[in-house]
Amino acid sequence: MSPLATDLAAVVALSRRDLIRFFRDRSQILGAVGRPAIWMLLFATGLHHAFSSDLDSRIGYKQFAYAGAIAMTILFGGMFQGVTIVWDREFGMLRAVLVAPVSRTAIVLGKTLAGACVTLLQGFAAAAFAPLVEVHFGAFDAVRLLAAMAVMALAVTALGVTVGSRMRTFEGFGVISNFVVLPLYFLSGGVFPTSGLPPWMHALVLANPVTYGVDLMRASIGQPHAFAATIDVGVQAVFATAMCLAALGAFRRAAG
Amino acid sequence: MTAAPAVCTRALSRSYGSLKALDELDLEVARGQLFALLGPNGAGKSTTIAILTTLLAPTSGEAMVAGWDVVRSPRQVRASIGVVFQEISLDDRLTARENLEFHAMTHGIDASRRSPRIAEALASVGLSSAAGKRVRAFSGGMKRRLEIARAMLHEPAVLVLDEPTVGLDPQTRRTVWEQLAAIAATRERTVFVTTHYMDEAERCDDVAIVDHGRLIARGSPAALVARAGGERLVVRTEDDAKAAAHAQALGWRVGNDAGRLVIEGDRPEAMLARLAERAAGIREATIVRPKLEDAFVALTGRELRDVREEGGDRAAMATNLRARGRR
Repeated sequence: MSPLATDLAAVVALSRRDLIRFFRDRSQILGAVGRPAIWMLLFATGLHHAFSSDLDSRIGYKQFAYAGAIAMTILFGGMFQGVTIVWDREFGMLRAVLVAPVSRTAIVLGKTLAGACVTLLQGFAAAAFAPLVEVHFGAFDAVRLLAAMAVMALAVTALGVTVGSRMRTFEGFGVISNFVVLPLYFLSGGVFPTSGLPPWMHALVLANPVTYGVDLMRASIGQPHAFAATIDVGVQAVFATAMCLAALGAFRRAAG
Repeated sequence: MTAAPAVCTRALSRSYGSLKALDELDLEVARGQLFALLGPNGAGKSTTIAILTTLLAPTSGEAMVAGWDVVRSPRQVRASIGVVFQEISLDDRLTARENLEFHAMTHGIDASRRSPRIAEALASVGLSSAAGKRVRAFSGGMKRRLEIARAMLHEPAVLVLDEPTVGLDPQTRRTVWEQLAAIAATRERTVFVTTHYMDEAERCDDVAIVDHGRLIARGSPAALVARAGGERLVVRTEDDAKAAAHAQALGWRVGNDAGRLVIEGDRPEAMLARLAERAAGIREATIVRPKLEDAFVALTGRELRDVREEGGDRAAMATNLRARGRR
């Protein structure tokens, strides 16, 4: 096999491995379904009645929080995939991959794609709760939504791999990933509307790439949204590319 | 390329801050050998393995594996080696077969050849019936055997194993070594193994002893043992002076160690019989055949820390020898 063919086979092998692991881990599947279910049913429905008056009159909070709940699932799911890097190093599997005749780029790409696939599956589970929060869209919109989710899953997983490559312990990873994920989530416009925020906070919302991912999801299913779709797509593309490059850099530095 | 030695290092050094883990190590291992790198913990064995497997860059000097430079051609080096790390590095959520499939895909084995190669590799380590079982249900020995099968899957020129039997029960240790001997016996592959078990090193064709990151001895186990001195007879008699006189009259070299006569010679059994004819009252007689461990002690002035737990007798003997060496 040529080096390129071996690299491609390695990407497939890494992806296949993580998918097998995901489907064999009942707690991961339960988490994928359970977290958005709790969020949408309890949190969103509860708040729906509390402050629906402040929102855009065309949708209620349940509908508003739908894209946010998917984004949350992808953020937590994608970052958690970075833990597989720590896990692999801790339990030696990573070393077995590092002595294989494949390029470091293929290993990072494989790990990231694998994680993005698993994350996207979790996102599917969240998106499937649409009827529960009275969000309705057609098949074409569903495809657009999935595409928006896929780009975000890739970007966030690459971020997880970047953090995971730099961490030596599970505990460290847990702390750092919460520090990264929570602000990205709260400042994304997915939890509360961004109109009427103090200027400093609004600036952070605009600087947060996840904001545009949430906006793109809303646009794709015909909900009111803040930016032009081209801006959303552009920001997401830059976000995903930058994170993949960061993951590559961090992994190379860690792996030598 | 085939003429190049399996492993060749020149002035290979690696420092961690001020600590020299490897200090100008020169090592050449011929192809087709069962080779052991022997040394106490912290001697530089694992650092050597990390450099040879391209996981660690040397601070200075060079290392070649199967003719490829580990720094300039890491990918070719990785394609030439099969590695078994000290810690188990399998994915325990996957089955044995899935682990090997993963390895095959990351080692450029064509899709059409994967299945037969995997079946063959599993059979070679006696794990055919466990192929579909998840590795987390495997015993330590089964995991290690699976790792050896995995390391052999892509038919590497050099099989590298870092202390492969640490933590295994005696039966599994024996099985592992039978497998390594079988692999080396074909002379198609070099087996490069690190160990701190003397009995394991004694099974090898070629042994290098390292300590403090330096090569301190090199040769076949027999040649190394010969350096620790020949066989000898140790006796305690009712009248040592008389026995010593008899021995000297027969032309043997006689010494004294902790109240016992030490008589050196080639055939200690025959010596004991002849001595018994002349000098009555032999209370105690021991025939000492030096082992690799004695060579190690003679060369390094210390015994292997981890071996001490294994047998009180040997450790006691080693201590005696060390005491003698200082005189």
